[in-house]
Amino acid sequence: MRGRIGLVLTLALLLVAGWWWQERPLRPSVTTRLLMGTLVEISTWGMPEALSMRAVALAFDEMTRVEERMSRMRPESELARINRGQRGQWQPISAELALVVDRGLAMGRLASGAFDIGLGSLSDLWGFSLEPPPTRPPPADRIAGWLAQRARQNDAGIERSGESEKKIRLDNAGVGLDLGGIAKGYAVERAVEMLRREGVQDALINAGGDMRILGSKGGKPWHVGLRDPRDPQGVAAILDLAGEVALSTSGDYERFFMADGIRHHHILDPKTGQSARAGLISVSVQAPDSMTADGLSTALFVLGEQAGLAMLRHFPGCEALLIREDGSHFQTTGFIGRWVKGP
Amino acid sequence: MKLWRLALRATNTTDRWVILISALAIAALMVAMMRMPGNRATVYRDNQPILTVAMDRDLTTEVTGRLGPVRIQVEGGRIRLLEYDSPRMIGTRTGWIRDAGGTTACVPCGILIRVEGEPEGTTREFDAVAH
Repeated sequence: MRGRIGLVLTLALLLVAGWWWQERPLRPSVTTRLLMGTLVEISTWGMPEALSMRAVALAFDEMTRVEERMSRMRPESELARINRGQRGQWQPISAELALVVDRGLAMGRLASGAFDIGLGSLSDLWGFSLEPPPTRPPPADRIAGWLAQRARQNDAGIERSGESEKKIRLDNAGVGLDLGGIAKGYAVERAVEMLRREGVQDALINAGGDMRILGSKGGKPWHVGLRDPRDPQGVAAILDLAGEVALSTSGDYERFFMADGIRHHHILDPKTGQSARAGLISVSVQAPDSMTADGLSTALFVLGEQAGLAMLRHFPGCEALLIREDGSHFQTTGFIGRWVKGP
Repeated sequence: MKLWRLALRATNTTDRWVILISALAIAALMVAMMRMPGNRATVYRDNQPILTVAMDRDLTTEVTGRLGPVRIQVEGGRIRLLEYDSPRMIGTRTGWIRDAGGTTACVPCGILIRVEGEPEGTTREFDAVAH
């Protein structure tokens, strides 16, 4: 009797457990945090939950550390300290910040100045990072004043000393470091490094405009939507990404305001001091790493289609999808993704 | 009742323990299976949990964000952020959230709301949306 009861109950238990297990589909483990002025989401796949949570926590900690060092808006950051420093005097800079500054300067040279890590003072004038956000553009004379101040030094406002010395000198009062176009990409790469170190092979990091793919989702690619710039609920393209891919998107639709019928957005053109207007409303770049993708998407947005695509040719392995003001699009042949919005 | 007594008479102490433990295990499993995802939400400030809200009754509550008070509304099993007008308030664009795993946030306020539980279905429509 005892054996029969035990057998029946064990079978019942196994049946219920089996049914429950089958009903629970495999899905990524997703963790969200507020970091770097945006929602950052890390998804992992196929890891025991405890290990995944530990790896993700370390990745978030690393991104926080980078933000604390490189944010222009944090008065205690190393970058803010350099911006407060006296112009014309060499200041010490950490190897890590110097690395990002050097990448930014190199990107700026290739973009013929359309990408500029010295726009801190101009960004302050516009105030897109402030609360409450701006509703009017800064007075024209203040932008003209900023442009005149920059021009006096032929735009050569930032100098780095030799590789071993790790010093930086800001020469121009109109120049302030603003790594908004590249530091988030660096932070994402650091997070990837932490995930790898903890044994994570398959992950997706989504940090606002910066996305990084690592591996796959159980052998299937990560399924990514590219937001329609003029429809907050819609997607313009679908991207199935796997392996080592970074995707960065720059657009005029996240931080902007309308004034007198004109859309003023946060991507500023160093040559005009105004929001960049080169005929594009969204640029997405796929690259082997997030820092390159981050810098390129901003540079291409400012440069526009023709000059932007010419610049892209300097970056092997990088591809782009551009959305024009009229809603049409162009994507380079190697860009992974299919347009779904219509012609 | 008679049948139950008969069954008890036909078993010894060990049998009863087997029945009790198995019944408890099945009950625990059933509870886990029947647990309704998405029936409460956690509110975070600067990524630290500060409040858990039951979503099965309507209420409006207030938490203190970095820039001042932020109101949170629960209605009909849904939850949303109220009354902070900023393009960086993702809550404004997200509106109501209901499903387990759903998030809404006011970035400048440092406030994030996440509906607890595992998402239903195999996956979301997209693993991520680039913007």
